Amino acid sequence: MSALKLALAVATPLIILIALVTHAASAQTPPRQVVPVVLEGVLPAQQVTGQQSVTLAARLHGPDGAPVRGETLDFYVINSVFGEHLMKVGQAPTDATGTAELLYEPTWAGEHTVVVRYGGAAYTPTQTTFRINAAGPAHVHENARFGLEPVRAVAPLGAALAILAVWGTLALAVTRTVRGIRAAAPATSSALPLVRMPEALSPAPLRPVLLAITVVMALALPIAWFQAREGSAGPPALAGAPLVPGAEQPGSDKILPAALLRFVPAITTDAAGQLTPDSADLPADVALLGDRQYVLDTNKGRILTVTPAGQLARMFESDRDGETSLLGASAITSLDGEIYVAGPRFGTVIVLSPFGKIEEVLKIELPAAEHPFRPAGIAVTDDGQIWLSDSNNHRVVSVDRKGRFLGSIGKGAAATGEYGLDTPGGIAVDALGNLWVADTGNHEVKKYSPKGVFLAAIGHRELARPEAVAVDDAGDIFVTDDERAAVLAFGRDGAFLGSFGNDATVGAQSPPRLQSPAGIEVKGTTVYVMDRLSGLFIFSVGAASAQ
Amino acid sequence: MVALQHEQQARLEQTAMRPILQPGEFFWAVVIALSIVVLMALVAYLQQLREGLAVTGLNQRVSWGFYISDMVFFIGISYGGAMTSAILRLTNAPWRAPLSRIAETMAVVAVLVGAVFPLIDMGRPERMGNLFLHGQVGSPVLWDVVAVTTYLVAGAIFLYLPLIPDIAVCRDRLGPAGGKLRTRLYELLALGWQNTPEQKRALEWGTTVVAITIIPLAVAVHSVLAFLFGVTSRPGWDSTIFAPYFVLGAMFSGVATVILAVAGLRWAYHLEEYIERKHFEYLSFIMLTLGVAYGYFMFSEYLTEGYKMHEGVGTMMELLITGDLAPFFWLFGLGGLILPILLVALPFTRNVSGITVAALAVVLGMWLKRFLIVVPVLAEPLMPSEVVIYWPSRVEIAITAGAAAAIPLLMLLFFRVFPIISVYEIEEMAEAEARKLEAPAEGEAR
Repeated sequence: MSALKLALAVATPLIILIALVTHAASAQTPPRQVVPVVLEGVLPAQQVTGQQSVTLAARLHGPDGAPVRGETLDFYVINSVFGEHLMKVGQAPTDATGTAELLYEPTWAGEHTVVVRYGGAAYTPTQTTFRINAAGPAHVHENARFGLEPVRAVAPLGAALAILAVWGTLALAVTRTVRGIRAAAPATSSALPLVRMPEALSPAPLRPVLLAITVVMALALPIAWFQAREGSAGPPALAGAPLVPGAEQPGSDKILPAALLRFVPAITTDAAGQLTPDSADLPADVALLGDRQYVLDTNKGRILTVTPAGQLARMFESDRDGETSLLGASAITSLDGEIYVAGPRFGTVIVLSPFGKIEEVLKIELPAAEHPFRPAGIAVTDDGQIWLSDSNNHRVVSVDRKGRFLGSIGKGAAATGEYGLDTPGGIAVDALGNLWVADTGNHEVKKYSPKGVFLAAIGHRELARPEAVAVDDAGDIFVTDDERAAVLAFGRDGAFLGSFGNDATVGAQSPPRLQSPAGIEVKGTTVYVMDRLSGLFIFSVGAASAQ
Repeated sequence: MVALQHEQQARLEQTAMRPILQPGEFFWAVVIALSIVVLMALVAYLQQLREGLAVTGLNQRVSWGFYISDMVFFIGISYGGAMTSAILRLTNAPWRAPLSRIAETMAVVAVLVGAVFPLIDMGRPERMGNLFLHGQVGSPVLWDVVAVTTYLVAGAIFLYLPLIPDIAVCRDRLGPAGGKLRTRLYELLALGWQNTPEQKRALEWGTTVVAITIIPLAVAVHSVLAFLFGVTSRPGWDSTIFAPYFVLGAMFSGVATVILAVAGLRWAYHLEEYIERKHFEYLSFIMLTLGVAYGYFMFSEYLTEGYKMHEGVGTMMELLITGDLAPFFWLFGLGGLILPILLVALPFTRNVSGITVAALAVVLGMWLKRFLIVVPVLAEPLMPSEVVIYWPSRVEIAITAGAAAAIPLLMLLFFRVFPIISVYEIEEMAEAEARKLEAPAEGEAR
């Protein structure tokens, strides 16, 4: 007993002492310097198709262009395996030119979004993003491991020789036979008696049967043709206007004047380039309620709200594994004082109050599908009908306010045409109750009536990868395009009005700028864009409606 | 020496030329009916071309369904037709004469139809060129295209060469009844054939060389087709016996298809005098032997796979033996394998009707077996996931039905132009038979 008392007597002051020293040390940590620097991604000299690895590079320099040397940059790639997340591929220091380079071996073929972050040891933290195309690493054949590569190299040659031998034999057989027969043909031939056929052996005349079959065929083919054509015609033009005026006037690069009113950073990193505890992680969508904006923090399963000071504050944090988990949720919307979030894990829609209290959890009745439900967009109509886009199953489903299935659009697999969708993203409902779907894989936005009847498709020439869509009260349509890193605006008649939010409009030297825009909302002339890699952008596009 | 009497000769020519000169209304009825099915398939394909493979039941996991099953099946039956004719020709089996034309025509027509399916399955046929522009020489896919193309050419030559004397008969004996266009075609293709001994020798040599070539070629074609499956690491396909298993299956279904074609044409064109019950019996014995061998291969395959039950094989075996696909599997086992064997083995069912029913059961059963080889293996997930069941869409069913109808349709149209049975070979066989009979008689006289 006395030994225990002695141990406590020694340990207690020691613990207190350690705690005091630690606190003092942390208190003495100098605040991060606010010295602005610019980070620019350096695209590979050529796209990396066919190469085994690629050099990722970024350059860090001051506002005056002077290179910043000796700082560490972190390189990430957005990986979509088991939900989108940033995959760290390594870090590298900047050299005398301010450039950091990292050799990266792509593990999948296709487009890669590269994110480079500077954690801000000496200067203000910043990040940049760029895209590369990769063919993926060349497959090393198993034979190479066993010294059988020479056999593998020769085997196709052997097969080719065998095939050539067969062709040669056939050619020889034909030419020799034909020549032999021709050479041996006598100059004259005697007339032979003609074949005389007996009376026809056919049974009773079949003309009525033939007639019946012909009539059936004549009827069946147009019916079959009609059936085949149903739902397959290409998107028609909107009434009274050409579908895409940009088609005649090359205007997909047209700029729409837009002023950045405010940028609310959502992604913050520490000096090591890691996300801070309060930082959002790939926030995908934004919702508006009254004067407040709600940010869906996808990879952390949270809802954040923007404070009057322009910062994000935690409003709702979901249970990670429970029925109300919002982990991986990427669709949020609002109506009549309530926030609706599509829960990705259990096929639910979670209804919250503006203050983050769960009011209702709707279990959605979904028809059978090949893949797990993955809601990428949600929209609620005034009469309580809920639309959900299920990107995994290439469809948009409609349920009532109790979650009962009403109907769906899409074929269950990636498809084109009026009712075909390919990986639909965000959706929106306009003032008339019409549904707008960002048909990501088909590079267009489709419009359906409240009953799900196809009405129009827009933006096929301008949109590269539409992620989400919003419609203002005047009927203008705003679409986020992840590949163009911009917002594209279309008039109510489908005419392309212009784009904003990318380098050209915001300016390369005046970050922030859109890097990976996802969710979008519009209120009056203000457009709210959720950028997954940076934060919430609030633009004023008064000029759009005026046009 | 005249082997066939004048009356017999005239009857033979009349029989062989009847589809050309006197097809009858029944011919047109069948052609129209088959054309409807083929046109429906074309309409379905147009729909698929417009809307993409989304109109099929294919999905991300089961990416091979009806189309690839059809390709394997149709190329397989073609192989059976060519092999039957080539082997019987090389072994100089005298009873082959009235069957060889039908078997060879079926072989060419079936491979034509089967070779279209990879294009249909691609969804984007215009990308076929990429196979040659960016083909991998180590891939069975590239070699499959090369082998099937070579086999198609060899099959066409194998059909054409023995046809030359009969084309000459058409040229010389049809007169104005043959029509201008056909007569011009006959003149072109007959190559001046006048039945001289030198011409016969040249033809015999050429036909024998092609017959010898086509046997290993047909084995190679179906082996490469089997390698498409066998060289993958997928449980169920990852098997060393897949190539001989496929070859045997192809011969089994091919001989059955020859029996069906022979039975149908015999009935439609009254060929009973030349195609007798013994021809059906001989063919059925070949089919029986192949059926037993195929059953043995299948038993060996499933026993060795099922005994070890490596990870991944279990789900596939369960799907087949007791799962969702069990009805089809047992339908094939009992209806497509055991029933035909019994129908042929039992003396009281071994007649033309019994053998035809057995052949029909084999053809349907072997198509089902191809489906069961292709689909369950893909349905089995390689990563932890649920089993995906594939079900064909109406488009796939229509295209498959159209392909099945295209084979008899093309055969009927072919026999509208060329003799349905080989007049030349029947005469040659009769001559040889007569020589055999005369030889002992001459010996006795000495």
